[in-house]
Amino acid sequence: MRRLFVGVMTTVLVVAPLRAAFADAAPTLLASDTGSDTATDTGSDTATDTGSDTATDTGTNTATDTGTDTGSDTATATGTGTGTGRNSATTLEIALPEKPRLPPPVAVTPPTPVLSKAWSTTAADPLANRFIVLAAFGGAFMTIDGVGTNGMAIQPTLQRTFDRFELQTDLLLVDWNPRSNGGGHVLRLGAAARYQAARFRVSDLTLDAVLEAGAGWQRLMPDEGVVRNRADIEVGIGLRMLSRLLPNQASSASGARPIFFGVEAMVRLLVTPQRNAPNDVACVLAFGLPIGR
Amino acid sequence: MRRLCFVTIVLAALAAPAAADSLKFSSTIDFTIGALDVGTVHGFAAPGLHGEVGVEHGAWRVQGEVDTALWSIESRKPESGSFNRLGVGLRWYGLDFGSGMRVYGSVGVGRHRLEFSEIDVARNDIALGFGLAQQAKLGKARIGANVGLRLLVANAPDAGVLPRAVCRGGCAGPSAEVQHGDLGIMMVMGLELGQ
Repeated sequence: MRRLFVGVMTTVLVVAPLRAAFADAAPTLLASDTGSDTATDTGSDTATDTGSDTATDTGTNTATDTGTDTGSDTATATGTGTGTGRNSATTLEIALPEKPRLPPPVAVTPPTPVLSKAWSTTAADPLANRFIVLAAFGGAFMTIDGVGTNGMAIQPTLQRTFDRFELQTDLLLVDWNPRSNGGGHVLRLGAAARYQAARFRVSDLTLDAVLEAGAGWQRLMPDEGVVRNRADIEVGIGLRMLSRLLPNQASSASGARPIFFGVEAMVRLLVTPQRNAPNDVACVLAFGLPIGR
Repeated sequence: MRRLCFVTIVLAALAAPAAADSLKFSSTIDFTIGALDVGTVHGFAAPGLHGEVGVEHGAWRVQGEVDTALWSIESRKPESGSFNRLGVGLRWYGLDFGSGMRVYGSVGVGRHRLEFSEIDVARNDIALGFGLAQQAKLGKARIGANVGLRLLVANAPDAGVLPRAVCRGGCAGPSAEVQHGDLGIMMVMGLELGQ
């Protein structure tokens, strides 16, 4: 027992200082290595050691290894162990973490534009053909049987446009303010052919200058006296701003037509031929908000 | 009789929630300008306010209507009177262009009063309307705009109530009678608010 204790103590007291003193040189002293130490890793990150490594390393190896992985699937890793003595480091197995696989590149196709031509009446000019409802309001300056008067007016209007050519029908109601020949109201049902003499397009906006000519049927309703009818002819000019509102995607996909919204002002000159009296004339100013499609 | 009342109440109680789902409240508040006549007296109504509050079901709206405006007579300016009206009406959205743009027509009945220094006329009327409305959803609410034309038709009062002083030119004499009903033509433009 005493011998065992002495042996252990001797070992501790002798070997421990030696290990501490020769820690750096431990591989030299304690390790032996024969063969080449070049590890190559081909394939899927599993290093294989070519060469015969029969090394046993019981010391402290300060090995450095560098691994490079080229390619996504064919990773090669080279591990190099170097010792600081005659016997360089032993085999190193390097397992690089497997990179996540990226999906193969897919050709990206640009999304289909929302402005489908499916709902466009004419692919070249979607602002050209439309049906418009107009609630117009204004005033009239007129002569009735040669006596001048004026009054406020309302005029619901329908328009159908075929490119530059338009057809319009309207119902005009004018308050005929009393003058020497009395007062009353004038109701007029008219129709006109119109032509866009000039127009200017900015994106989904159109500015139109429209010339028109037409005819109408007037019904004079005086406060006193007899109601009578008469015909007239008219010429006029209109200025219009109309914008095309884009339908939503669902409407576009279903082939819905675009919607139009804008402002229109028109000036019209009416002439009423009379056989036994001077012709009556009227100037009607109307302003309205058109919507349609 | 009791059974009939009971069945009616039960049916109403069951039907009310279903109907309520499809009912929506909406309102209109408009600026208005126009011309209003009383017999041979032609007046100018502006500026004015026109309001509607109603319940929509599909393309229909049952609505209450209110109007108020200054009412002046051309020959008596700058003096002005007033125009006030209450009524009920029915609005129908007849043309739907999509994206909340609709054309509507309306019809209603009401009673209006025109007051001037020498005129005080209250009478029943029929209101006809036509216009364009656009609405957009904003959360749970709808907001939009409208522009429209309105026509008020009323019986002309007895010419005796109209003093000659407010007439101009060919004013009707005491015995004269207007041959047709009085007309009021108005333009409205404003906001639409609703559920």
